[in-house]
Formats: sequence, C-alpha cells, structure tokens
Amino acid sequence: MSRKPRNTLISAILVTLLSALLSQSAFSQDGPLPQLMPYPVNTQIEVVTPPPSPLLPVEKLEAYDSPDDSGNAIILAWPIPGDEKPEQKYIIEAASDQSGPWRQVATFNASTSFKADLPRAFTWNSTDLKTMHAIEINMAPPTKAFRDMLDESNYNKTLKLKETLKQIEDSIKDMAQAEKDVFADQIAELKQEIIDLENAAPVTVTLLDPDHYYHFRVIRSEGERLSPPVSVGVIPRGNWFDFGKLNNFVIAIMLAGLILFYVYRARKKPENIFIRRIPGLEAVEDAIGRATEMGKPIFFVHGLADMSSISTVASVNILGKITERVAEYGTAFKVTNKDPVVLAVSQETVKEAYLRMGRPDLYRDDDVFFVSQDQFSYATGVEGMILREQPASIFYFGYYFAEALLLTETGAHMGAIQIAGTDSYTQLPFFITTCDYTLMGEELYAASAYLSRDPKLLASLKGQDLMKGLIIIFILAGIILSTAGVEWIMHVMESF
Amino acid sequence: MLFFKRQLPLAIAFFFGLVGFFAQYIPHHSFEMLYNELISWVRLLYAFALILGTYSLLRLHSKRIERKDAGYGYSLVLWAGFIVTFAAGMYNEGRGFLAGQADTGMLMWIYDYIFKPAGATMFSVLAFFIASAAYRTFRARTPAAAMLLISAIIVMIGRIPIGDMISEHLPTLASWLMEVPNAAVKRGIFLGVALGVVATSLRIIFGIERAYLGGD
Amino acid sequence: MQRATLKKLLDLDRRWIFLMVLICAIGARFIDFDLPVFPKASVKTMYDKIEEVAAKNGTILISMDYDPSSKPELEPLSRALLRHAFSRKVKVIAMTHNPNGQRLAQTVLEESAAEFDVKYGEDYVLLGYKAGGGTLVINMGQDFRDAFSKDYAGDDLASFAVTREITSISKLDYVISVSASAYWESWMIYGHDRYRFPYGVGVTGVIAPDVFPFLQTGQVTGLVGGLAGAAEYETLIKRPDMAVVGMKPQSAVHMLLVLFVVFGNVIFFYDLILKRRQEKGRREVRRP
Repeated sequence: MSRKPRNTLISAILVTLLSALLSQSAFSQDGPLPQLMPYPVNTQIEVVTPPPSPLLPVEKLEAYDSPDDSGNAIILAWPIPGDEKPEQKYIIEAASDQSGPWRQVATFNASTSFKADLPRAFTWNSTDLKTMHAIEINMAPPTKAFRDMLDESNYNKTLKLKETLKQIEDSIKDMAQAEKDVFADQIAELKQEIIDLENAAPVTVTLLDPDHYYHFRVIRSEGERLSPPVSVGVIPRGNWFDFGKLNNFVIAIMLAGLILFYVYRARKKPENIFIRRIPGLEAVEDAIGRATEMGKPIFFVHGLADMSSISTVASVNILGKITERVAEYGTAFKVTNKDPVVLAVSQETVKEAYLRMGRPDLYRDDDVFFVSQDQFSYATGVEGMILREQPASIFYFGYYFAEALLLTETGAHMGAIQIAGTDSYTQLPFFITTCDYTLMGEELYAASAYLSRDPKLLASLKGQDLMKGLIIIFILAGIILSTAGVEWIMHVMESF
Repeated sequence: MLFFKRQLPLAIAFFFGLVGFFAQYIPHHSFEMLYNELISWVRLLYAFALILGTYSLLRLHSKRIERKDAGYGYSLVLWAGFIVTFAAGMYNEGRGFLAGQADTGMLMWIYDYIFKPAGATMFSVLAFFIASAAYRTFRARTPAAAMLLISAIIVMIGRIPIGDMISEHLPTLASWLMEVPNAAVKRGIFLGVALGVVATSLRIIFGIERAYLGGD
Repeated sequence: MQRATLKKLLDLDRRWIFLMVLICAIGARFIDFDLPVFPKASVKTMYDKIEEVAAKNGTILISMDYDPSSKPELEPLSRALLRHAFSRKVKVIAMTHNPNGQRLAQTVLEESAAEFDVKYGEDYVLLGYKAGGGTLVINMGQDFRDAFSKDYAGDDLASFAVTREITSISKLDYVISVSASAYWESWMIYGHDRYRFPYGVGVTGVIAPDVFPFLQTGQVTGLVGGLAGAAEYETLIKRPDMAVVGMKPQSAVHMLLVLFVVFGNVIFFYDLILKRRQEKGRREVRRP
C-alpha cells in the first residue's frame, strides 16, 4: 500500500472512532439531549431597557424683539428639523439667568406655529414662511393682576426661600462645625421646601420686563424622548411706533392734512365753496314756518347716543342752527334728551342761540328737558308728548335704535312734518318710509356746515370729499390689480 | 370767565384728542401707562353722568308738582317710585350699600316683578307699531321703494322657518340679500360715516367745530 | 269697490291692526304645527368655535349686554350658549355693560348652571356690571384685574380658578357679546381690533344686518341674529326651548306683516287707478 492511501485509511478509522465515542456519550442516557450550558432555575432576569435615544436639538435658533409692541414680547424662530414628525412637540422655557431656574412658557405641536402665522413680524413675501417655526412669547404686561399672581406663585416663593438659604449659609460658613450643626435642621427644612415648591405645578406665565436680558431655550419632545435644550438670549424692547398700522396712520395724516389745508386756505381767502343741495336741510325753514302758521310747537328729538358720539355732536350743531331760525319766528320749541350730558350741552346751545338772535326771553329750562335714560321709557315719553301736544314739525337727529319707528310712526299718524338725520344704518329704512325727509349718514355730519355756510366748515367738507375720492380710486385700483394677480396690493392695506 | 367756557375746554379737547389719536400708534409701555390712566378717569365720567341725569329728572318733576301742571300725578308716582327703589337699594337687605348686592329683598322684587315685565312690554309695543307702519306707510310710491319692499318681504319670509317650508330657495335668496347688497351698502355708508367721524373729530380737536361748547 | 271704501281701508284705525297682530301671535301658540329649524352657517360657526374651545379646556367670556326690554329676544341665546359651554366643560366668565342687565345675567347663569355639574368659581364666574363701555373694554385688555378686581358679590377674582390666571382679555379663547344696542361695536372696535381675541356676536334681529360686513372680513367669528338665530342655536345643541317655541308666533306675525304690506299696496294702487279714471272722466266731461 502506498503512503497516501494508508494515511487516508488511518484518518478514516480515527474519525469513525471519534464519532462513535461522541455518539456513545450523546446517547448514553435516555431522553432528550442534555443542555450544554446548565441554566439555573428560579433566577430573576434583569431586563435592561436601553434609554430612549434623544431627539436631535433644534439648529440655528434665533430670537428677536417682537416688533410694534409695548416691550413684553419676543419671537423665537428656527428651521424645521429634518426628522420632525407631527406627533412631536416643542417646549419653550425662559429664565432671567443662564443657570436658571427655567420656567416653561409655551408648548406647541410640531404641525403648528410657523413664520406664516406671524404676519406682523415676517413679511408676506419671505421665502421661509412655511419652512421655519416661529412663536411669539407674549408675556403678561406688568399689571397689578399679574404681579399679585406672581407674588403668590411658587416661583417667587422659591426665589425668596433660596435667598434666605443663601443668607444662612453665608453667615455660618466661617463658624465651627458644632455651631453649624445648630442650623442643620433649619437648612434641611428650607432645602426640602424648595424642592417641594419646584416640583409643584409651575406657573406658566412669566413676567417679561422691557429692556431686560432674558434667556430662552427650546426643547423638542416626543413622548419620553427629549432633545438637548438649545438656548438663546434676547432683550425685549418697547417700540415708539406701530409700523403695522402705518397704512392707517398715513391715511389719517393725509385726511388731517387735506382738511387743515383747505381750512387754512378758507381763512386766508374765503371763497364760495359749492355744496350740493340737501333737501332735508332745505326743508327746515318750511317746517318751522308751517309750525308757526299752525300755532303748534316744534319738537327736536335727540337720539340715544351720548356726547362722545359724533352723531350727537352733529345733532347739537344742527340744534343751534334750528334754534336761531325758531328764534326769528318765536315759535314754541321743545328739545327732548335721553342723556344728562347731552341735556346740559343742549340747554347751553339753545340758550346761546336765543341770545345771539336777541331773544333770550324765549329760553325756558323746561323746554329743554331730560326724559329718561331708558330706551323705551324715552320713546314712550316722547310719544306721549307728541300725542298730547301735537307738534306741527318734528326733527329727529342723532343715533337711534329700535325706538325710531315708535317715534316716527306716531308723528306720521299725527300729521306732523318730520325731518330725520341719522348715521344708524339699521334705522334708515324706517325713517325713509315714515319721515318726509331723511339725512343719511354723513349728510348729518355735513349739516352744520350746510346750515351755517361757514367757510371753514365747508372747506373741511371739501377735504373730506377729496379723501373719499382718493379712497375710491384706491379701491378700484386694488380690485383691478388684485384680479390681475398683483399680490403686493392686497398686503398694502393689511391691518394688524 | 370766558377762559373757562372757551379756551380751557378747547385746550383740553386738543390735548386729550391728540393723546387719544397717538395712543393708537404708539405701543410703548410708558405711553400705554398714561393712556390706561386716562381711560380709568374717563370711566368716572360715566358714573357722574348717572348722578346728573337723576338730578335733572327729579328737578323737572318736582317743578311740575309744585306748579300742579297737567298730569302732575304721574310726577308724584315717579317721585314715590324713586324714593322706594332708592331706599330699597341703600338698605340692601340690611347689608348696606357698600356691600355686594343682595340676591333677594325689596330691590330685587321691584326689579323682577315691575321693571322686567314693564321693560319687556315696552319693547313688544314695537311689533304692533311695525305692523301699523307696514300697512299704513310702507307704500311702493317709487321704483326704489318697490325694490325695498320686495327685498323686505323676501328677507322677512326667508329668515324664519316658514321660508324653508315654502321654498328652499327663499332662505338662500334672503341670505344673499343680506350678505351681498346689504353688506355692500353698509360698507359704503360705513366708509362715508367713518370719514365723517374722523373729519368731525379733527375739527373738534383743532377747535374748528365748537358747537359742543354751546355755540360759537 | 267705491273710493270711499278704499279710503276707509287706507286710513284703517291702527287699533284694528294691533288686534290682528295680537290674535295672530297668541293664536299661533295654540295651533299645533311643526316648524323645522335649519341652522345657518354663521350660527354654526359660533357653535363650532365653542366646540374648539372645549377641545382645549378653554375659557370664554359672555357679555350679556341687554336689559329687560330685549330679554325675550336675547336671553334664549344666552341660555343656549351657557348650556353648550357647561355641557362641554368650557369655563365661562359672564359680565354686562348694561346697568339693568346684571340681574338678568345672574338669573340665566344660575338657572343654566343648576342643570349641570358646575360650580361657581371653578367653572363660571359673574363679574357683574361696570360703567365705561369702550373704555372698560380697553381697561380689561390692559389689566383685567384693574377693570374687575371683584365679582358681582364682592369676592376677589384671585380666589376663583376661572379668573385667577386671566390677566387680559387677549388671553381669552372666545368672547361673545349678546347685545341689544351698540355694545357689540364697542367690543369689536376697542376689544377685538386691539387685542385680537376670537369674537362672536349675538344681536337682535334689527341689528344683525349691521354685523354682516364684519362677518365676511373675519373680524367677527359667528353671528346669531334675533330669536330665529337663537332657535337655530338651540337646534344645534339639541335643546329646543323658548326660542324654538317662539318661532311659531314669530313666523305667523311675519306672514301677517307681509300680508299687510301687500294688501296695503294693492289698496293704494287700486285707489290710484280709480282716482286717475275719475279725473280722466271729469276732463272729458269738461271738454265742449
């Protein structure tokens, strides 16, 4: 036999013997194979759950002072993280000091709060309106209510306790240990109280004083997973002009400028300014004449608004002019009032008007009187007077509510000539159907200029009408441009 | 004396008018504090107006009683009502007028059983007057009046459940009338009124309009 | 028909008209007929807004700015709003600008609260009445506790869970003015436009047309007009009450008014035609 076949044979014999040996040991027992590694019975297995992997922190966190405010707000903005999911949240915390304590001031879902939601701070044509989160942290202004709340809050109590603790620790640091031990219980008690307060539900509102430096941090959260906080500092400042209302301011200044310009020109060079005929005011003279001929009184019925309403100011103007006309004829004239301040002004107006016309004897306090401050008591009171005294002419000037029809229907029933003027839009249909003449809206305001023909007042009307013309042109231009897809025009008149 | 009747009120109107105007555009906290203070003071004026009105009313009726004018019995009723209600309010079920208002007692009885039903009755009178006006004065004398009446009828029927029963288009038409022509006209009038208000306010602030002082 | 008869009809004593209205209004209460109420979009908006506030356990303010004269028209809405809010555990702060309205607000609040498991101070508070109108609203925006430091009974607002943390009306989730006069305008001009809180309006039917432009611009979120609007709201919350009951007489009287307008104009034009015929006849007689 050659060497190679002999080696092969020996290998085969060895493998066979080894296999037999192993199989012998494997099948030497009855039953299943024994376990190679014996396992102890009744042993507790500690399952170690790996900690949740933290979320990635926000990047490029920016902080700005909120524009056009009183100095109690700031804005935080950051790009939307690549791994953001709708179920995640953002937690915003604030502190006066970088070391804390940090107070939660806001929290929001990841699917909300973008730059697009803050049109005052970020212009409409910014490219990142939907790709960046932004939140305005608007703290309560330093009001009495808030300061009371803050005093009672745990936050303030914690600060006070910490200060006390620090004072005690500072005072005992140079003492001997035996002396320090005297304070040990007190110190321990204070520390426990601080811990309890900090663990209690936090006050979520924090005072943000203008011109002070504050720190803010943003933490992402998804269930138990939190991101490391990213902080930034900012100083909120009060602004002296609200640029969000710039368009409003420009229009107001333009209107004021136009009015003052024309009034100035009228003073220098009074000219005959044209004003269109207002039938209701033209008929005032006829109404007074009619009442004089019939020997019946004239009633002037004020509206329900008080002296702060422009329609009441306008009606008082008209009252003065009508009184002057009435003084010429000497007709009985009664003025009803719903508001005591309007009563005082009306009495003064009528008295002065009679005085100007040289007829102070015509004035009686009882003729300019207060009826009631209650709407329907006023209406029924005046109605009763109309039914009893049967005036020939009734003037209604001012702001009216539901009682308007009660008054005018009664007057129409009595056959009186009725002239009304109101800026109350909802009552205009009732006046129009029941009165002989009705001044609508701004015709009431123009009445004082119309009746007096004072160049200054007429000039201010001219300025007002010019402004109205400009606004109409602007509206038409806006309609055309926005229909044509010119977007900026829609934002020019945006109000914030 | 003229200074207090003319110059001083004009100066006050000018100063506070400008403060009120700029308050809309200056958000700074220092200006805001000034404005808040002014607002608190203005609110006091409303309370004083109540006292002034009460005095004026009582004075008028006491004169009528004194002169025994026609219908002076009603003035007596007014005085009696005022005294009883005032006394009940001051007494406040023994708690005095400085304490919070009591839930029961004479004042509440007067309010619940006299004032409330009387007030509701007064407003209900309006329904009858509207009906009277609808029949006697709502005439389609001109094409504009005719349009007004037709619109009124559509809206009156369309806004109530019966409108839905008559036709499903009626409520839609009524809503359209309210939301389109009505809103358009309201805006037009509102724009003019707003300009008029601003112009009149400016005239008052700059002293061009002085009728509110009782004449020129 | 003779002109004399037409003239009598045209000058009909208004007491007959009053009587017809009375019979119609009372009669409709006793006749049994169904009137299905279909809520309008503006009413649904208010309902949805309160649902939205409920979802975040928010707080609303209801300013019940009406007095006894407009109570029949506006109280059903106040009651429906309160029932809705209480059923959804929305916190309610109630107040009024109307000096005669405090008692009304108190009554409707107590009656509505009694139907639910809500507690004064924890779920609702009544601030009461304060003078000032628009200036009061501004004050509430600047410093809520300066405007109202105590509730109507004189207890400190700091002691109530509902108002403890409210420092300004800008913090409120929804403000509703239920108003019979110009108070809703004050809330809008001095409140919403300055402090930008969501704002809804409930007004009498006659004022509702005034509010539509603001509804369209989004300045007002939700509008309920008159008793019909209140009936729609009651339908939405599935608690038909006085407003739904009131629809029958209201519908009947509305139809009567339409009849009056039509009949009055028919008589008027017929009289006009007869008058012109008479004049034409006279002119023809005069011609030689």
